[in-house]
Amino acid sequence: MDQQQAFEQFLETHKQLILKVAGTYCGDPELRKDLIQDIILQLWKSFPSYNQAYALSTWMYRIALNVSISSLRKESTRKKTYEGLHQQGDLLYYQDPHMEERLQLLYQHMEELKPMEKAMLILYLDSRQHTEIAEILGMTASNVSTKIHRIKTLLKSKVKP
Amino acid sequence: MELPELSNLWNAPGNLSINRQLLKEVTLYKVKALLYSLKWSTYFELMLNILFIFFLQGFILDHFYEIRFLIPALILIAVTLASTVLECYKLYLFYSLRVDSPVTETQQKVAQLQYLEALEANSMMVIIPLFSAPILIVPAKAFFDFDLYQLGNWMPQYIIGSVVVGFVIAFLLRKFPNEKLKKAIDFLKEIKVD
Repeated sequence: MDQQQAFEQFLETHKQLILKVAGTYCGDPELRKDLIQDIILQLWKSFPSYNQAYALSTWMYRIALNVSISSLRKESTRKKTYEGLHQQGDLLYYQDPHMEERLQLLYQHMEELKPMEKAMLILYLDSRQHTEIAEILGMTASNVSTKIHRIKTLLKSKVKP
Repeated sequence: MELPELSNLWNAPGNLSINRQLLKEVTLYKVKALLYSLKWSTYFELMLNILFIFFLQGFILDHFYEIRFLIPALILIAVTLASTVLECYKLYLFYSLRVDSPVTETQQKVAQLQYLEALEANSMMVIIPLFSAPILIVPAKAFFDFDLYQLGNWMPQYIIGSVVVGFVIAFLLRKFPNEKLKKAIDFLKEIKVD
C-alpha cells in the first residue's frame, strides 16, 4: 500500500474526529469547511513523519487541536490558504445533520469555554483516558483531572433539565 | 441530562464521506505550515543588526579612549545586541513549532511569538526617542567626522527631553496596551500549565 492509500484509509477511520473538533472551534459553516480542509492538509503534511511512539489518535488530536486553536485565534485576519481548492469542492462532505436538541445545546455551551477547556471537553466526551488527554495537551494527568472536574461541574449546571 | 448521555450523543456516527478525487490532487500540493507566519522583516532586521554590531565594534575600537563617543556607542551596541538576541529567540520559537507537538507547548510558542512581535513594535516607540541622542552622535562622528558636542548646550537638554518623552510613551503604552499585545498576554495566561 502506498503512502497515499494509507492516508486515505487512515482518514476514513478518523474522519468523524476531524468534524467534531472543527465543529467545536468553528460555528460558521463556511469557515468550518476551511478549517476541515486545513486540518486534513496538515495531517497529510505530517503523515510521513508520524512518530509511532504515540498512539495514532494522540497524534491526530494534537494536529487537529493545534490547527483549530491557531485558526480560531487569527479568525479575524484569516485568509483562505487554499483558495483554489474551494472551486473543486470540499475534502470532506458532510450533511449538517438535524442535530439533536441536547447536542445543539452542548455545542452552544462549549462556545462559552476557552480554547483549552474546549479541547479538554472534546477529549473527555470522546472517552479518552486522563493520561491520554495529558499526553495530547502536554499537561500532567492530575492537572487534567482537576480541570475536567471543574468543566464537568460547570457543564452539569448548564445542561440540567 | 447526565454526562455519559452527552458522550453517547457526541459519539453518534454522522454522515460523512471523503472526496477521494480531490484528496488525490491535494496530496500533490506542497502544504504550507499554518500555525504562524513569521514576518520577512525578522530576517531583514537580524541582518541589519549584525551589520550594525560590526560597525559599532569598529567605532568602539577607534574611539576607545574618547569617553563621550565610547558611552553612546556602548549604549547602542547593548540595545542592538538585546534586539539580536530577541530576533534569534523568535527564529528559534518559529522553527521549533511543530503541529504534532502537545497542544499546550505549541500554543505557548505561538502566543509567545505574537507577544514578542507586539512587544517589539511597542518597544520601538520607546527606544527611538530614548536613545535618539546616541543614534545621532555615533553616525555623525563615524560618517561625517562631526562632533555634535561642539554645538553648545543642546546635548544635556536633548538627552533629558528624550528620556522624558521615552518614559511618557512607555507609561502610555502600559496604561493603554495595544489589542494584539493584550490578546497574546491573555492567551499566555490561559494556557499556562499550573
